Amino acid sequence: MIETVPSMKKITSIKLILNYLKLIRSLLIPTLALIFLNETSTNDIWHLLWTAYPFIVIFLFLLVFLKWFTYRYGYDDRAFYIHSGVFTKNKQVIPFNRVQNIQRKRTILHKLSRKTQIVFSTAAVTDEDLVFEMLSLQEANLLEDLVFSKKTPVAPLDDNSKDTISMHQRDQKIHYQVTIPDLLKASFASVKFLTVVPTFAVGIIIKDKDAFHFVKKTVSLELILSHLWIDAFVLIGILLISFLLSICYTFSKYWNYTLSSDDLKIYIKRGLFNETRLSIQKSRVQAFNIKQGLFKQLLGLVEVELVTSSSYEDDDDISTLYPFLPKKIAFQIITELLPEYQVDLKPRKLERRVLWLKLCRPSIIWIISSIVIFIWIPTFWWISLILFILIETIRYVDFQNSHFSIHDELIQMQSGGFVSKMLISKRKNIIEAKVRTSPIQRKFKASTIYVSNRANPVKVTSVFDMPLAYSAEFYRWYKKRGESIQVE
Amino acid sequence: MEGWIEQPKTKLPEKAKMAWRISNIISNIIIFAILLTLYFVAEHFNWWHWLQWLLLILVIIEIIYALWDVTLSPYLTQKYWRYDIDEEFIKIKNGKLFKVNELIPMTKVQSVLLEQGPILRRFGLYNIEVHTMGSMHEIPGIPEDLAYILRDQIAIFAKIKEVSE
Repeated sequence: MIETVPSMKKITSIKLILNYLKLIRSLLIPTLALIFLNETSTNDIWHLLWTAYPFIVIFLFLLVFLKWFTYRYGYDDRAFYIHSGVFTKNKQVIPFNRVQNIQRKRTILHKLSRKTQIVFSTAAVTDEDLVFEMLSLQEANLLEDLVFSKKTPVAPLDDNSKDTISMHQRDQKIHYQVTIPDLLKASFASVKFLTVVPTFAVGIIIKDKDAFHFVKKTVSLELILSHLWIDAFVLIGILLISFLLSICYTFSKYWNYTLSSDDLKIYIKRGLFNETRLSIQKSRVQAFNIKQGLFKQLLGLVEVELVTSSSYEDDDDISTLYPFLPKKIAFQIITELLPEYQVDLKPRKLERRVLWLKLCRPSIIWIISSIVIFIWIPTFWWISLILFILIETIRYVDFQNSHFSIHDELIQMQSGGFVSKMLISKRKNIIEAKVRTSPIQRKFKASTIYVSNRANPVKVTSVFDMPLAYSAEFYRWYKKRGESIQVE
Repeated sequence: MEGWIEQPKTKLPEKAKMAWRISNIISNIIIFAILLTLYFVAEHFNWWHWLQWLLLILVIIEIIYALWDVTLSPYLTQKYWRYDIDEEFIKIKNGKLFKVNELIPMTKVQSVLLEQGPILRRFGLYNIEVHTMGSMHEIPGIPEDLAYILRDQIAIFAKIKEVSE
């Protein structure tokens, strides 16, 4: 095929400046090290390094410039074209239909220069994500329309398809918009109580030992009281500070959080200082993953994650819907976004006999830690007891959380004690199914099921100790997968 | 799982057992030799005491494991392995203690290849490796002519692609 390459463009010079800043930052430590070490050593090798260093620096500066100078990008109505490389030339073609989702991020710098970072994330392991660090808003919008319009099922004439795109955008429906009370609630839920309380408890124990010695010497009620006062004061102080920190964090991350969609795409927008935006095609959603930590289980809040095969993972967990949604609203939103997905509110629980299987299964962690405790620190035998109770409690919670449901094309399964995880997927989006039994499970007529979804890496969800009857049903259901797929 | 889940039917050939046995004997002899050498070296050069103990324990574990690996394991593997290949799925059932039933849709198969080591060659056997997006599945010890037929069959079935998103 002869490439008819469209006009290729250079990236903005701001990017060059940024690259230089990065280079300088990474050179800072070696340079300082060299300056300081040079004074102390008179070695020949050091001398050589010292004279060579300026040349290395000059070379690096030149390389950064050449890299920027030789980088060209272009696009037509089908694909992106990237030309790069200083010594070896690279030509890359990324067809639009490989793009899984589009992510934007705007830092303050971007906002000042009316630009945006935009990432076209691809699915394949071999393909690289296409990252534009600095693109004008105008161009970013243009590219986004171009990429997604290509993927609409009916794309007759160019002008027409552009019209439909703008029409879709007019049809955008907002599903959830965060309010300030919501944010406060979220800050409260994200306070790391589990880290605050134990640190403080340890603090009190250590302090109290001092206090006891003190009290033995001078038995004064006032002193004890004053100690308690201080302790309470410190506790409240720590809680207040961690609450404030979590407010700052939550507000800056989820400020102006908006979840919306039109009939083709889902949009997520959020952020105070760093504004991020995700657009993803509805047909690319492989499954929903609904997570609840222990604390969220108590508060009835859930975190909904879109399972997609996008490979680009910034440090922001952008493909999670707002992580502090009340359960009911979250389920509603799922159906609103993709009407084929409906959460079964009365799924089947595991049978009682399975609870005994779960509780009686020997825990390797407990056995090993108990052996360690009894051999080396037998005075702390109670730790073993606490650990045992903890493990059994988690198992009980896991039993309560575990459920399973199949209706028509949908499967819904949940398990997990500390963190409960629920998966809702369509049969056609499951790429592999597995049922496994251990000798003990066979005694209890139980089994474990594994469901694989297309993601990056492949996402495997399992439910332990499912009654065999359910697993068999699941197996038969998956075997009829042919009914729900269309082949080319 | 029998009685609950419909099992695939095709068994692996009897002679696969012998091939696995021989290859397991060889690999266990190698491991055994390495461990034993290490143990004597450790004793001779007076390495840490605990290391000598550790090596001794490893040697004992290896002996027990080798017994299982050479006698019972190939027998049970052959006894319980079942597979079926049709135009929709690769169905695999295997496992000795932990039993696994797997369904791999043909449309998700990305590549299939035959693999043969020196011992399998002696027996005229092949392993069929099926690669999907996230995992690899192996059907071991298939006679040569059947292996080629199955490989081509899987390749043809796998060519059919779903209307993708």
